[in-house]
This record gives sequence, C-alpha cells and structure tokens, in this order.
Amino acid sequence: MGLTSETRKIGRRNFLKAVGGTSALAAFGTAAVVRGPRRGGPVRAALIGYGKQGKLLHSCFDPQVIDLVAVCDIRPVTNSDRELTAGAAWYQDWRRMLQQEQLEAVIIATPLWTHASIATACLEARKHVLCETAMAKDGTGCRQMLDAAERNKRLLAIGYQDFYQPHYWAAYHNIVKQGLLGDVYSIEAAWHSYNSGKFEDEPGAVPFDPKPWGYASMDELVNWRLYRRFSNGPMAEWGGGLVSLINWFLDATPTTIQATGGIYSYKDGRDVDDHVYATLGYPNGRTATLSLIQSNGMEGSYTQFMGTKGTLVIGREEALLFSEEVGNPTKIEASQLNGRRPVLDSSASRSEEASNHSVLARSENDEAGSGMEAYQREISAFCGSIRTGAPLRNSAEHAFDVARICAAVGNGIEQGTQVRPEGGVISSQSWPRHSADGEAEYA
Amino acid sequence: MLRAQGDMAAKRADTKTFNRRQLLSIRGMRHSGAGTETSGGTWVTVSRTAMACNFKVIVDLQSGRGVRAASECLDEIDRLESILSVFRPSSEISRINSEGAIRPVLAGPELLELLHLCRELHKDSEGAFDITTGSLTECWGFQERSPRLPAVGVLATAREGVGAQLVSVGIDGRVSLRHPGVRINFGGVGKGYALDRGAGKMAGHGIGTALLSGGSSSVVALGAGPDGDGWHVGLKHPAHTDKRMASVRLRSCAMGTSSQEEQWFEESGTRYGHILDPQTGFPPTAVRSVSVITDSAARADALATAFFVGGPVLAERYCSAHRDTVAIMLLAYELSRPIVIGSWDKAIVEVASD
Repeated sequence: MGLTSETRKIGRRNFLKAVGGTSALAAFGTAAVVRGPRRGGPVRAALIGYGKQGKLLHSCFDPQVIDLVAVCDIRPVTNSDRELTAGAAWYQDWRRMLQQEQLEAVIIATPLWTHASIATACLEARKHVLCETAMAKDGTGCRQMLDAAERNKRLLAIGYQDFYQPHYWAAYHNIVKQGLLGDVYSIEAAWHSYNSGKFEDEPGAVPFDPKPWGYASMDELVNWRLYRRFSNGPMAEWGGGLVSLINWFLDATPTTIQATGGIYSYKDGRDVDDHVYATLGYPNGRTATLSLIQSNGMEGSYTQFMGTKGTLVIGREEALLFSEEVGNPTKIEASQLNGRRPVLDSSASRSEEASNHSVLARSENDEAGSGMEAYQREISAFCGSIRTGAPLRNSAEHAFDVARICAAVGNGIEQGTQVRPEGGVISSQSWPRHSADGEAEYA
Repeated sequence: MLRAQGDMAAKRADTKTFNRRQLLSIRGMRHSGAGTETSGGTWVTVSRTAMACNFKVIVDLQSGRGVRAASECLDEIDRLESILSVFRPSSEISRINSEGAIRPVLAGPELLELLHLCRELHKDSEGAFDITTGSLTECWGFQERSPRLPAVGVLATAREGVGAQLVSVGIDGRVSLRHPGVRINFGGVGKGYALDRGAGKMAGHGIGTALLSGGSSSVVALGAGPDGDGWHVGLKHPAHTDKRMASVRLRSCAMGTSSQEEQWFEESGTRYGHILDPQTGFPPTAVRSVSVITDSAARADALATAFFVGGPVLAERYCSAHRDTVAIMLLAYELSRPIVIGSWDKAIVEVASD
C-alpha cells in the first residue's frame, strides 16, 4: 500500500466516520447475540486441543456462557494446565471423553488433519461443534462434517472469527452494503510475515512420544503446519481467512483461479510452500489478488477493496477508508440522538459552515476490536446460538467454500494453469458438489 | 469595515435556560429518563458540502436503505446546484441572467417550477420576497463578498433591474428578462428548494423519518423523529451564539431561518446586512432574525426572507391567512426573547426564558 502515517490517519478517520460509534455495532445485533448469561445457563463444553490455539481460545471463555467440563490433549497435562482449567476433567483420548462426559458442545483446536474425524465423531455424538480453521484437510472431510451436522441437527461453526470482529462487521454493513465503495472490481489481499513459522517446543514441556498419535517426531507435532501430511500450508492456514473475508464482502465465490508459489526462503525440511500468490476471478469482472509470503513482513496482513467510489483497507489492526469521489466527498458520522437535546441548532447560514466537522465521540484508535475480543464474541455467539437458535455467522457452508478455494489454489500451483474451483482439475471425489435437492453429487 | 463572523461552535443550552413549565414538559417526554439515553436505534449523519454550506441528512441506520437514500438526496442537491447557482457560469440561471434580456432562454423543469413558486411567494408576501434583488446584492458587493455602501447613482441603476414583473416565462418554457439589469438570484429559496427535492428522494426510498438540513438555516423534518415527539431543533440566538433563544419540535414540516448575522458590514457606525428590501434597495433594520415553519423548505426560506423585510406586521398578516405557518422573530429592539406568530399542530415552539 505504501501509505504515509498522515494518509493512514485520514483513512482511519474516514472509516470511523463511516461506520459510526459503538452503538452502530450494537444495531447489527452483535450485542444481542453474544451477551450472557442466557436461559438454560452456560453451555457444558469440552475443549479438544490444548496447544497454543486451544489455550488462546480457553482464555476467551466467559464462564457466564460456557462451562468448561473437560479438556483433551494428546500431550500429558501439566500442573499449570490443571490450574488454569480447574474443575475440568482431563483426557488424552477424545473418544473416551465423548463417552464419559455429559457435554452439549465441543470446541476443537487440533491440527488440521484431525478436524474431520474429531468433528464428525462429536457431531455424531450429538454435540454442537465449533472447530478452528481451516475446516478440514480435504473435501471429503468437509462433506462428512457438514453431513454429520445436518443428520444430527447440531450446529457446526468454523472459526473464521472475522465475522465477530466489530470493525469488520461494521465495515460490511455500513460501507460495503451501503454501496459506499461503488462497484468493486479489484481486491488486494496480503498476509506478509518475516517469520519461518517454525517453533521449538515449549520450555519445560513434559517429555512425550508423539508416534502413537501419528507424528514421527516432536518437530512434526509442534510444527505440523509445515508438513503436507497435516496441513495445507499457508493458503489454508492464513489465506483462508482472506478468502473468507473476500467471499463475505463480495457475497460470491471465485469461478477461476490462477496460482503460483513454492518453497523459496526456508529450506528447513518443510514441504509446504512459504510463498503463495493467487489470482481469484469472481463473477462480474471482480478479481482478487492474494500474496502470502514469509520472507518479508511489509504491511502485514490486510485486504483492500478498491471500488469506483472508494477504497476500504481492512485488517485485524486497523481499517481505512478513502474516497474516489471527484466532487465534494460524502461524510457519514454516527449521531447520538437524545430526546432532550436538539438534534441540531438552526440559525442563519454562515459560509464558514462549509468546513465540515466531526461529531463522532470515539477515539481514532478505537476502531479495531482486538483479536481476543473477536474470539470471545465468536465463542459467546456459538453458545448463544445453541441456546436461542440464532443463525451462525461463521457457518460451515461458508467455510466449505473457503476450503474448496484454498485447495484449488494448491492445485493451481501444482499444475501451473488456471483452474476452476469446481470440477475440472479438482478431484470430484474430494470436492463433491451439491445437487438441487441438497444431496452431495460425485460427478 | 467588514467584520468576519466566526462560526462559533454551538454550545448546547442547559435545561435551566427554560422556564419551569417548559422544563416539565421536556422532562415528560418519552424516552427522556436518565439523561444518557439514545433515542431509538442508531442514527447517522450523511453530509456533503454544496451551495457553499454543509448539507446533512440524519437518518436511521437500521432502516437499511437510509444511507443510500441520503446519498441520492445529496446527489440531487448537487444536481440542482449546477442548475440554480449564480456562482456557476454554466448553470441555467447564469445563462438566463446573461442572455435572457437578449433572447428567451430555454429553462429546465426544475428551474421553471422554482420560478413559478417564487412568483407565487412574491405575491403572497406582498412583494417582500423577490428573486430579482440580484442586482442589488451585486451593487452592495455581497455577491463577491466585498460589501460596501453603494453610490446613490449605482443603487438607483441597480433598482431598475428589480421587480418580479421583469421576468417572464413563455408557454414554451423559455425565460425572458425585460431589463438588461435583472439578475435573478435564488439565494433566499434555493437551499430550501433543493432540500424539498432531496426529501422527495428520501420518501421515494420509503424513508419515513429523517432530518435534512442545508447549512444551519434550512431544515426539513420527515416524520416525527426518533422518539416520535417531533424532530427537536434548537434556534440559536443571533447575537449570542452560545445560547438558544428557542427550540422547536417539528413533525413533517420545514423550517427556514434568515438573519443578517451571516454577512454584514459596518460603516460610520451603521450596520448593513446582506438581506435587501426590494422596495428601497436598503437592508431592513427592524428584525434581527426570523425563523419560519411551514409545509416546505422553499416556502419557509422565502418567507423568512420576506418577514425579515416586511417585519412582524407582514408576518402577522400572512400567518393569520395561512394556518400552516409559524414565525419566530427576534426584533432588533427586543433582543432578550423572540416573539412567536401563528400556531400549527405540526410545530411546537418553546421559547427559552431570559
């Protein structure tokens, strides 16, 4: 993007004015969905996977909405873990846990390759499931999860928590849906990192043999994201979030994909790409370019929607809005209307009024919700949906589309040609399509 | 000497500026209990600069179509500015002003509609409202924002170009000026007219409640506002802009305000404002501020100018003949509180106590 700090400041102000204040977010039902406690009390749930992501999710549990009954991880439990999860039973085998505990829901934060088997079993055991992204390692796994959810009438949410980032939600409703960007033909999305993504095991961890669990070494367990057997690489792990956002904001899925990439920077034994570039063609001439690189962290992660009337740049940390209007810009600000005070003061016009002023009552740095906040909202909304039947924002159907696109990008890199997400080069066995009556089709 | 008038930020008046009865009536209003509440849902202000001021539309975000409707409303105002502005050489009115005395100039439907309305208002206001005072505004230097006292001969020449009868509209939609000195200027009605048209766009989107304003002088209230008790609008005191002299509740009506506080200059101890009496060619001095509430913003704006010129006598006469019109006037000899002329169930006026 190459924006100066001053330009960013202007963009942040524009965004804040466009999306309004906190109450604007409440207007979209965020608060209504996530607020607890609720009838029926906290949801009795288990957490499967107590690695980094599992611990992060656990730190976002609100006891008013979720009652952590059990925790499951293949690694031996430490005293510290027991203290942090006081009151919860610990298991090494999730199957045993499902048999022994009276659960309503399960939250899954395990390596990608295990998602399908664990989530499907939980759904078959009639537990609601919130599964971390990506949905599953292949189309068959995704389809099994969807079918199990439908068959057992259970909720299946996939952790695309951007749906619960207040500034994303506000941007969608106040900017995108209101047409403030005009016609959007070009989208740029980036996940830039100067980080190998390779980690050492946590210091002080209890010695553990991971072979019975499918990992040849501790390196494979700790760094499962770097190996194809367990992961689909950066496109699935990080690019999925970008595709999820673009699909959401454009209300569409790509029809053509071109991609390239490879292992360029880190010759450390990994077999997933450390650089991925993809061009996604959406209907009506809309094109998204994605770059996921691990050799340079310039600009970090962002998605830029470039429309005929404006440009929206949005990421976890900030959101910026710029106008493309040639004439006088249109400004949108939140209005706090209080019946006791006049909405405006009238007098004879003064020419000085032509200079606009803001009535927004929020600080400039207040627009982006923290990642933790989004997790909290996501988990609370999931529990809320269990109790109230409210629809999920991060639905499995949406995640299925994202997974399908990420897999197609992988295929595109391998084949070096343009691919289509459905049919064509993608194994029809892996990615069954829906027929008109909702049954999966294996063409 | 010209004094630049700063646009002081409006300091909201405390409720103690209202008398006890008024305060009770305010406290009794729906949704006004704790003092921190936001009335009904989330509202946004969509604004854009046009006609040298800030146009705003306050609309309910939850209506779904509100922001889009407001944007189209502002687009319409932009479009009308390109037709009605004398500051744009390519506008229809500029063409009429420059060529209308030489040959009839074809006018579009909006301009014809506005000319027709202005003729009606001229008649109803007994000549106090007149769009042909453009030549006077020019000779006083207000148009180019460098006002001065005109020489007697210059003023006399300018007055020759004043008179509604000097503008004629043919059945073919062509406008002729019967004197080369005629300068039509919609300054006293254009903003209101644009707001009315914008309000039509909002209604076309099914928006039932919204507040539209052009600058701070022209207001259109669609519906009854967020709490259903009418849109609450304050009236700033022209001489003490940190105070309100009144507040109004507007339901499905419009308000326009005129005063000399916008543009004026002082020479030899006498203050001259930019509103000019078409009969004398001089600024009237009896009134400091007029706000008129009626059924449309164009009428409200025009009548505010007319009552400024014609004073309370004209306002009394007009309001007794038109039951849908209320005037709030601050007279130059009684600056402590305004007088309210007329009454209408769509507008509740609360005058602030001393």
